Amino acid sequence: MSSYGVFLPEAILVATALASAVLGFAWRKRPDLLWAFSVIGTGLAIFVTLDMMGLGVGRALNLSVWPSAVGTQGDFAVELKMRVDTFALFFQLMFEFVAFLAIVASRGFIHADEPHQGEYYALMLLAVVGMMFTAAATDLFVLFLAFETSSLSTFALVAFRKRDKQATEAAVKFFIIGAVSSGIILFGISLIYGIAGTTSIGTTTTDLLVLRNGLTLAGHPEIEPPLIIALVLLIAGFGFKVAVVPFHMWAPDVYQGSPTTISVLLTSASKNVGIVALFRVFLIGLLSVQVDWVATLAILAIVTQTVGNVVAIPQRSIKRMLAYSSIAQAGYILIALAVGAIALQSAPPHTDNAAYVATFGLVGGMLHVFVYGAMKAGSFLVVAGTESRGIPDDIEAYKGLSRRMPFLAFSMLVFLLSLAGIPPLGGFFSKFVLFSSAVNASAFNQWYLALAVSGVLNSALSLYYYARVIWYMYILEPEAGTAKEPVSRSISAAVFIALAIVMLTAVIAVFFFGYLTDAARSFFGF
Amino acid sequence: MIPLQYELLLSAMLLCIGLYGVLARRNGIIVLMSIEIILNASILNFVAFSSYSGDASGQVFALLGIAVAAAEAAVGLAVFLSIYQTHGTIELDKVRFLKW
Repeated sequence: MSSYGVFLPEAILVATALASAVLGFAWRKRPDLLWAFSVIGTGLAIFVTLDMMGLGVGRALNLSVWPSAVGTQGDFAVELKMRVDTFALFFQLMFEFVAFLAIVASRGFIHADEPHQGEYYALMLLAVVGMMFTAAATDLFVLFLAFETSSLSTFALVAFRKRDKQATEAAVKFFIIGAVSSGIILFGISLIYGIAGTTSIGTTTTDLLVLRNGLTLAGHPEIEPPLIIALVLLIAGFGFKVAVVPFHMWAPDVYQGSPTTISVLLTSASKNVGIVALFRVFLIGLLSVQVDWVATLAILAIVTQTVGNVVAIPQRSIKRMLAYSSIAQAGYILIALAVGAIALQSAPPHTDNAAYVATFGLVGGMLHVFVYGAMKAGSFLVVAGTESRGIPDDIEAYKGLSRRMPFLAFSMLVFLLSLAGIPPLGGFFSKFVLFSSAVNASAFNQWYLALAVSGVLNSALSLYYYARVIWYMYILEPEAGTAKEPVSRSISAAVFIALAIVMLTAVIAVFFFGYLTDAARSFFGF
Repeated sequence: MIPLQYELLLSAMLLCIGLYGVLARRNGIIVLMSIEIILNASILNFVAFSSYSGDASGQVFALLGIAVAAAEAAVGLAVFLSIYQTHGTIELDKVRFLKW
């Protein structure tokens, strides 16, 4: 039986968002109250989500207050075209978590006298609700609507400081790219909708599961030309959102220009919402027509990694450098998409090697999405912390940061090493799972080996520009005084949470790994 | 009834006109209009497919798509208004502060 209780986290977030938009007028002089209110709302949503995943306090105490996602309680595939399963809950938790970090840090980053703080928190929470629905959607059009909810909120958030020249310029670029890519995605969806009518499905539909079973080239070779056009449009549209390489030019401008707490949300949550949409659309809906898209996405993954890392090398602005590195990280996650396509070769009992490799690949992708969210959010939060003390994001200004802000410099060190994939840290484990799944997949097609090789080489390459930042922070002498500077407590707290996750990934993964495997298997329907 | 091909041709033309407008025109408002044309192309597709297959859901999608287009226009105009206030222009090639 399905139970509407599975939408409780979203309900809490919507209620908090609407209330904070209204309370913003009453508490204009007390932004700290608004901040506390949003932090409590988001924290509550995370608590409930964890409980529904079976990893929270309620499960430990053996209470069943909330519906559990393990089972059919979250199945609204017929009524609402949504299914809150273990896979969706994992991504929902990640989005809430990133929003939590960004909101916690906002107190130190947004000045107390800045206007429109109620709207700021409201838009942030509404963006997260859109992302959460995207993760749960089982229908292309519902997915598109949820996607738009989050995009429209983020367009407005980038322009939050509307007197700031850089921010408005970033907002214009982000809006034009985002709106055009939405239009392209919608056109692709409309073509798929029409194509479905001419296949064995018999009727026009956008339901992903129906498409998976019915949209095959066997017996209907005539659908291939329009299908290729639709696939190109979908890859281009989602590629813009994820900043895959030929469609990446907007990302550094926007991440650099927007307020840094919003950069946190864009780079960690908004990019991953594109990833989850790609998983849903390509690994469920279009799985059966994979001859047309797997090679494209695999090549895009390699190109994205390489271009992102190479162009990051000459950057002088830390935010731009991090933006290019996040483009490269998206390339690593695309490996999971190519490996997951092997799921089609698995036969019904689903205990064969194909099912194993596909599951393993998706687990690697999910783990990397999670660790990537924590380390990227953390590194942007460090930039927010230094910016709030008036240090620009130019690399020269980071000289001797370890003397002036020891905690932030140490956190940056950990995040950068983790992004490069140095062993005891989180980035190593997720990359390990991801790349070894590509190696396993080479049993089916030896070209998959190229994905693993490119991933490893690119990780080595990326260490060069990460190490340069560390060199500036720890080896070079600071120019102006070595006195310690105080850092806002809220930003330190947010950085600390991200730091704990990145350093303890090995421990967390022990609890998580079984959950992730279940989620991946239920995602593929094994 | 008009054959389905003509409607698909029209929507493909609308998509191309919209993309051309986004790429070639420099005025922010015209870019916004071009984006609306792209969205309308897909809405036309939904309606055409739905009326030829007798499946009503495409028409619901069309209505929701119109709502999305309206919301996008609202946010877009707000963003262009704010850039007009900071830069004094909405000619997009004159707005170049961030570049690599």
